[in-house]
Amino acid sequence: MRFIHQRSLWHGTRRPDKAQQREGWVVFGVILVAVAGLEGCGSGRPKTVPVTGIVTLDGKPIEGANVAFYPDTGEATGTGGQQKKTDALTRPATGTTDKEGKFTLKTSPLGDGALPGKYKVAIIKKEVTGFLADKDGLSGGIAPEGIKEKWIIPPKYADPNNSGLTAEVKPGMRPLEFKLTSQ
Amino acid sequence: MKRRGRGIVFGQSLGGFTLVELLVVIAIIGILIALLLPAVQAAREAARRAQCVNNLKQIGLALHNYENNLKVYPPGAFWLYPSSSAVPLKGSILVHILPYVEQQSLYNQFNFKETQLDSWLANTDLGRQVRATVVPVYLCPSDNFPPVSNERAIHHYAASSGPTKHIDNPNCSCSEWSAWNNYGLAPYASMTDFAGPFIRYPVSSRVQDIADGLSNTIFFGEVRPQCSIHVSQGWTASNNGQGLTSTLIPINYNSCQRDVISGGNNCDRYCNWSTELGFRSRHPGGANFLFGDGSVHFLPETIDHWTYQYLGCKNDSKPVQIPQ
Repeated sequence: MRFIHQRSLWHGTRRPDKAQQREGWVVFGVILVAVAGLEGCGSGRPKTVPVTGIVTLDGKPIEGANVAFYPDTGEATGTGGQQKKTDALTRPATGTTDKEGKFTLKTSPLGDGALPGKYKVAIIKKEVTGFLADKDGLSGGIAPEGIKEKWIIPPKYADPNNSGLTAEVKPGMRPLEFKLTSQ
Repeated sequence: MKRRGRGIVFGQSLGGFTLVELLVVIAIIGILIALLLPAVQAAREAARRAQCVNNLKQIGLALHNYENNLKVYPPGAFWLYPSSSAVPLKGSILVHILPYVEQQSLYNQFNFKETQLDSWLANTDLGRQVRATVVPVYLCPSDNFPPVSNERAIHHYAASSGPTKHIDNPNCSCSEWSAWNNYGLAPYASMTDFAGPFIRYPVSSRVQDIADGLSNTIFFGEVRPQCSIHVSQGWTASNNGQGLTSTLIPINYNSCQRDVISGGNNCDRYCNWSTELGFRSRHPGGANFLFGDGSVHFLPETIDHWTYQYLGCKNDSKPVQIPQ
């Protein structure tokens, strides 16, 4: 090593010029920093916050309920007149409860969790019969006797405007708890 | 400065390269290539996307020419629930605009005397041949799904039913279907009241039905056969997502899993009849949409969900702006 260094490390001179050597390392360093900087360029997607929680009906955890978070823009959801009041990015988020009544939200396709902000919440569980498939398993029509709905969770909770359920999503939030009653 | 090389050119010695110099040069070339390669890939994707947009514009022209001739837009599909073999199935909108995308000879191959065109396509030699015929204008080159899959030539564009409500597949149930219907502005399975310009029944919209204005209403959008059992039926089928794909589902919602969990929650699977019937593409960050005026816009997947519904609905009379 010492031999190479003496012979011709930088410009073939026997004694390398200290200033030139330093300059070379500085250029190399700048290139490294530039490349490292490029690595940091992300996709620019908005960041979701993990949201979990539990749903109980009359004190008992309920399985298979759909928990839907609708961005609260200060007006009724779905009845029209809806114009965004803020420039904040809003997305609906959804989740489904497991055996223990626990749910984890996702905001497809942005990722798990929900975007920070205020939400109206609907919690839906109903058994519906009367949807028919055609012979290829495709969406068909409605059975002649019509659609029969059996609400497991009272229908008022399925309407985000009347459910009375709200939530605010923010970083570091604790698990949510929604206590529903059948009456 | 004192030089000990064999000669001096532009103040440099000609003593040859050292190992370190060579390594530095190779490293720099490597870095340059690493910088360039993503740019080349992006340029190729941009070319594919331009082709993808162009195909959508061709479909827009076809719709306009159809409307010019017949004074109505083509129906989403000539489909009714096939409760008996007497119920006519006569192909989707993609069959009926063939003469307007310069495919008159392919159109002439169809045997429209058959009551159920889908049976003819499945059970005759000519039918199977037609079913497997690729129509390049119906394909988006950005999606690498096999152009002929399960003997069916596929498509990447679907006529929009706007915010028209969905149902749930009892055999591949997704708990979210009802939640997305809270964004719905028209009921499921109505031949008279549907939110978008198209519905999969043999009924047509006229220009005056698009009360919000052609430039504010989504007509067609991108879909992926991988992520929807309806779309995977191919362009000839009568029930293939045309007039059924809706804006209720967020753009690029992931429903691309092919296996089915019986009794489980199937929202991320391609068979659930609700989340599968959204618009999606392989382009990062959004999908292309054809509007009624023939313009094509790339809508980002972060679009406000109500804005998306109002762009999808033909007569909500809400002022909306297409996000740029």
